Amino acid sequence: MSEPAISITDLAFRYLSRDDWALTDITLTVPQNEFFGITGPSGAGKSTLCLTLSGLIPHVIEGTMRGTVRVGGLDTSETAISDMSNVVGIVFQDPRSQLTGASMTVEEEVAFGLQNLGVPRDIMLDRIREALQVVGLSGLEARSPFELSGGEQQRLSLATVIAMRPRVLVLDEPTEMLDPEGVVDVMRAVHTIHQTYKMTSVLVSNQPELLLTYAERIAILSRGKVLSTETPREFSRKVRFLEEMGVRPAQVSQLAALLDEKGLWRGEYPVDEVEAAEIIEKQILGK
Amino acid sequence: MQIAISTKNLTYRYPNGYEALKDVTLEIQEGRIVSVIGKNGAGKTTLAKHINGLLKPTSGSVVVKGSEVSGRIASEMAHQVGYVFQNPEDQLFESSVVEEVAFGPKNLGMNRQEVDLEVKRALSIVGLGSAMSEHPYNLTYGQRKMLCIASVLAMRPDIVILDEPNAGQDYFGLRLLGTILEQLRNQKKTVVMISHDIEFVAKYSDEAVLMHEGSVITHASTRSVLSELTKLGSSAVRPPQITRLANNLSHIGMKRNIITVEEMVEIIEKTVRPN
Repeated sequence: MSEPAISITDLAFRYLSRDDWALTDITLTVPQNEFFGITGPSGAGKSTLCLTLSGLIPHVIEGTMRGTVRVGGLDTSETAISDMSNVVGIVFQDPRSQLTGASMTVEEEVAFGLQNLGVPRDIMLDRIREALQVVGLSGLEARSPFELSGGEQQRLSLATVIAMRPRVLVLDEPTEMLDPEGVVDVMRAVHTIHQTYKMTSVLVSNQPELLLTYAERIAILSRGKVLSTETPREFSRKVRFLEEMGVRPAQVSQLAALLDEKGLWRGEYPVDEVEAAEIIEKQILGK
Repeated sequence: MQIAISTKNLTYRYPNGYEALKDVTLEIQEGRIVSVIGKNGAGKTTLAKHINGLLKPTSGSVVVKGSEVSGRIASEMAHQVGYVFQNPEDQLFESSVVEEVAFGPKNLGMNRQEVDLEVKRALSIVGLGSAMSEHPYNLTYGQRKMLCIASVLAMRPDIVILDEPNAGQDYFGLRLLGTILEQLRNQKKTVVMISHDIEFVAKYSDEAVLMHEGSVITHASTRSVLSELTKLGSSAVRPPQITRLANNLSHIGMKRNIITVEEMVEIIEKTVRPN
């Protein structure tokens, strides 16, 4: 058996200026190639967890860390942050904050990280072309990153990350600030990356439809702890629990729960509207 | 019913020549909660900024509560139109929650007692009653947005503009926001809300305005706009999941214009248990 892509044992973290622990008792394993979802209310520790995966905690952000985090076989505490960037790439919520600000063009922006790694020029050009193609930005090579829409900027961030060929992709609410069209474009790119490179992907989101569509397992975080890890099907059934935790359930899950409470639902809870339609037609309204 | 806001042939061109609004004619009645939807760059925020006079029309006019906006002074507008910005960082500048909320009422000339009362009232509405002495930057992003809403509510404006109030809110925040909107509805305030959260729009707004490339594509009841998005040729805004489900069930007689979960529960229950 190969080593899991992510293996976290008894992780706890407290920020330097804070009395309370942002994360406590986190033990979590994500096998290679899995698409892993994380959700939870504000302040649950979702972003902090992402920072521990990227090595920014403990190397850049100050605080007290306990336990171990292994990503791509490396112990993040013992690995220099520059070496972590070969293993894990991270995309944050705010598209503009991730631009280097040093690049005049989209192409230069993707080249930035590769140049810092000393990748030879011909390989670099190939990687840039491929990365921009995978995220659907081919043709925009010469544009200024600041002229792009939010969705395009997020896809540019994805391109800069995948050009480095990390083994693990961490996405911290990448679609939160986008319009609906931007959400669809970014998630399509994320899906293509996951398929093309068999990259282990971690998606933090509060959009239940995205989690149910893309994630193979979904962890619910609250007050720095992992409360449970569910398959999408189990997650769909947890409507009341999610509401109590401050996580919005999908509308099809809400529908199933409300009908269930009236004794009118039959069988599994749906993960999308296509399944919901089938169940309603055959099991509930059907003769 | 009185008209709260109207625009006539409103066109706005940014100094760089970009035409953000094209010939927008719109009427919003008093006491309505109206959502403005459409993709980024459609002109939603530009339109909203004309309602409180932050932007002046290149051509056309904006009338609020019976008088033309251009030519009116800022303090007079502030009393009538409260504007909650998309980004709390654009709005917050005081060093404590209580001072932040007190700023507006003080400038409207309220006395100390009135200011205190308004501040307490507004903070309790947004769930920050116990955070009065906090520095705004110690609050979470969602709480900072709630603080911006409180600063506006403390001025008791007749018209409230909310630019993406639900971005960055978790489910607790969304439900609180829903309660705030219900209170504003009961107080007969006029609300203009820009939002990408289509489920939230469906649940809380009476009317929806769909914008695209600087123009208003349609303005009608939320139900009619959301259930006809596909017909309107809008690929940028997706109907709520429950509306998509209703469409998938239309071949067995389900109404297509369902926009909330509760409605569908009711219809299914009535079908299965007719008595």
